Amino acid sequence: MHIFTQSSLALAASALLFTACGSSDTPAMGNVTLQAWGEDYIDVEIPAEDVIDGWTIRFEHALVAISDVTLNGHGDPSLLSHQRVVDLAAPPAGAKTIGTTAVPAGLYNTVQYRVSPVGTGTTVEDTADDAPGVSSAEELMFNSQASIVLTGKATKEEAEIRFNWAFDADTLYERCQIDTTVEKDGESSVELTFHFDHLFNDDLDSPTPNIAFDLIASADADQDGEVTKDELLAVNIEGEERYQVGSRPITNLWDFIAHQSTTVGHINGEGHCGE
Amino acid sequence: MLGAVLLTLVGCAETKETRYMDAVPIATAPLASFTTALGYEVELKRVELALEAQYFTRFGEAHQAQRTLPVLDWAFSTAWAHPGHSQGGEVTGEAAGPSTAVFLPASSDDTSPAPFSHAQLAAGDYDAVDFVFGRLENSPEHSMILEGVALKDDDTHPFLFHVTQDVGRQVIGIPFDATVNSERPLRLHFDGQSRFEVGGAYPTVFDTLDFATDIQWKTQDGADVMVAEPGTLNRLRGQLQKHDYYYYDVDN
Repeated sequence: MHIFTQSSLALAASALLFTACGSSDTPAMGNVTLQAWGEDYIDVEIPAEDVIDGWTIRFEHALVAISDVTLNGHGDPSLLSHQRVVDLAAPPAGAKTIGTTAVPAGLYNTVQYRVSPVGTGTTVEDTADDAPGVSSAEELMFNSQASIVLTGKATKEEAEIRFNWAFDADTLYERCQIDTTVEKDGESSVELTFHFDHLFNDDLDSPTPNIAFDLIASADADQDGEVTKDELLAVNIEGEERYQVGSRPITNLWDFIAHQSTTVGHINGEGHCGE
Repeated sequence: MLGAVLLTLVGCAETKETRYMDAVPIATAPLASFTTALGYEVELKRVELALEAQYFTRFGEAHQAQRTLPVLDWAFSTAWAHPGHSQGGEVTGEAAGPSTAVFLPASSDDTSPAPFSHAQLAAGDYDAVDFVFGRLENSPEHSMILEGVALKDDDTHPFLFHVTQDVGRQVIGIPFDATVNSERPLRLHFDGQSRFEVGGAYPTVFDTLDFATDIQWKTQDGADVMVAEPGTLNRLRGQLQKHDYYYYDVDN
């Protein structure tokens, strides 16, 4: 139990005055650790029970090129200015730490970040391969000047379909909702969360789309066990009962999936951007 | 005393009061004929559109992006929303509640259709409308009915499409480039041919439909019923989700 004596109250008042008036030239600072995560769908798999047509989807690489991470308010401090590529599928499982930055203390309600095609000077962190050097997924990313590279496979009973996809959309995720108070000398974190199941959704506007893979699997025209960008471009979706696109001029399955690559970014788990 | 002065200053700094029109009538505009990419001259005789709600918006960046940028050649896109959320800008007007818009040709006797809905709108400049498909009272499984004939090579192909849109499915960013400052009626247009040029042509809702082969008429329970493959109906349903085929204006 605290007993507040007159002297302790005077001391507290002095401390408060000093804090309020004595540090006007040096703002109070705290630390924010920036992380990125693909959640269990990347770390483990998208299980068959979550996929409407029973496929299991596993990722070998989930490369994302991240930059321009800025907290909004208190001078808009940057958590990441230059571009970094993170492999969200790299072991060990769990959120990948990108870095820790000292920022002015205070309440932050939003953050913004960008996922954009790789440029020169971009560094790659946390590769999924144990061997040193550049992985094939990284080669695909830099050769395609991609912002996102996903490699993996889907399985259903005896069937197996591989994918090695590179997406080059440049997406700014703005007004990502956080409720983070950075305390003076405290430790906080911001997690860029990526929901890559969106790429397998079967509707661009429904709030409750299904995760599906049958139509993607059927695109394997040469039946070599891999579905490529060209094969997906050849699949016209206009006659499909699902795969609705609203007013967007999207008519094939690759463009449908590529559009979804611009919607994967979230914040701190289920937090949304742009609302 | 200081508090009163501050209060006055705050009051003087307030923006002027927004004026609202409580009951702006919305009627349908006449239907127009058009020619499809396959050469069919289409005369629409009747279109019924069930609406659950209409939202009038300003500053709709998303609809601008969809209308003005080439297909997936976005130099820079902004992730405005999680899939399924509205992307239509700031809503400053609404026609709430279900309604049915009935469109007829200009040659019809019913030249001044009664309003099918009324909106509450803030005065000002508007960019777009988002509406939500509903279900027709006289055909609860369906959201739209399109009836007409398609003419080609002296052949006449009557059609009667019943279209079902998912509950809650929206059309975002329907053009409504107007200034609203009175209760002058608004009009909702359904144009089977888009006003927006794509690749040198103006698309129509029936561009991929071959009326001679893609629809058949059968007698069922003593009535003539039009049937079509699911793919044909899905393509039409998809076209009818595009804001290119609708627009609002002020009836002058």
